[in-house]
Amino acid sequence: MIGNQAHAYTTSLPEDSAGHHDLGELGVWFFRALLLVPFVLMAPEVMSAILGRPDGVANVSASVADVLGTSTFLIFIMMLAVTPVRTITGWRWHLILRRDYGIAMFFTAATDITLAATTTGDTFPGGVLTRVGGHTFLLAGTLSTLLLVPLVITANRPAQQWLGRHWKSVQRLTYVVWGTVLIHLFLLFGLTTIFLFALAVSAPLALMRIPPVRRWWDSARRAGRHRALRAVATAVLVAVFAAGYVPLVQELAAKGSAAFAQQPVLD
Amino acid sequence: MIDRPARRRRAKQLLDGVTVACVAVAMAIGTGQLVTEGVQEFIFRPPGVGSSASEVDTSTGAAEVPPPQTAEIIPTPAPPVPSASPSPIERSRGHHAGHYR
Repeated sequence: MIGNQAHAYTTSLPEDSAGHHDLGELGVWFFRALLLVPFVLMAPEVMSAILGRPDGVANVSASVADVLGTSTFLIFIMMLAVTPVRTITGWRWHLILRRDYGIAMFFTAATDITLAATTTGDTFPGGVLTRVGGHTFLLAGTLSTLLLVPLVITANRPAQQWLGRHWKSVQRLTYVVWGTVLIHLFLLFGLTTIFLFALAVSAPLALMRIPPVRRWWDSARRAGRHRALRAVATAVLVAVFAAGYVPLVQELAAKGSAAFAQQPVLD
Repeated sequence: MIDRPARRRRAKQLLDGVTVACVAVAMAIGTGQLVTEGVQEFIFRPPGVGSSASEVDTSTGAAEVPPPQTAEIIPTPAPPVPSASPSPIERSRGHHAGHYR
């Protein structure tokens, strides 16, 4: 949700033609539509649980972390990617997605934690608090979700005007959430699979946020300098990002389709 | 009437308060669980709990149960107990003894 305050929530394209504007709007709505995917994937199981069908609750319990947890992280990464994409390409049409993805991340994480608290009694015996904070990895996830509250409260124009220059410092909480999410994944998976994928997607996004790197890239792009170097660097950054992002999407596709068919993967 | 910088400062303080409250809630849950469940239960995650990546986790080997080998399907005999005269059971197993060497 963090970004340059002056244009944090704008899609204005002052120098673009109407055609580019239409394409940008189409792109924005396409990426907004993707935010419905985790809820669509979970809907059949949740409906079954609400209707009290056999295995309804057990299916939700088996799928919730895989589908909503992975979705939350993917949405978070997409949100974090908005600023580096602007630095690299100079595009502005997608900047509004930073707010949309931030809010969607909160709602996906909140749904995840709510369903986990109500349905995972088979995995985590005990009360609701045990299911959201009974282990270190659960606590890291819960803390990440709670830290999204001040971010989502201030993810609008009135809050931006209300806080003025302090708005950006509040939004820097995003970086703390980034850290707690990575801790959550490390405690869950150790130095394997999803945590390594998370590091792979995080590395280019973090690199492009280092002020000297960002400034150099911005000025080089504006001046049209170092084209070859920037092209090679972009290719490397995209490759590293894809190395982590693609397996995560595959994970969501596998677990999400199984959840949609109400045959969750029990592993 | 409050001037704008002062109002913004108070807004920031309010948001800081919200943030601290959120962290405090998480810490309270964690501390409560640590006290009730114990350190072992809180820190160490039982294999398979909460983690369900599609890929096979090869980091520790603790979470996965490898498929049984043929040799494991056949029950391992108890270590031989030295005796002066073999029992009838030991005598009848004698010609399979080679499998266990």
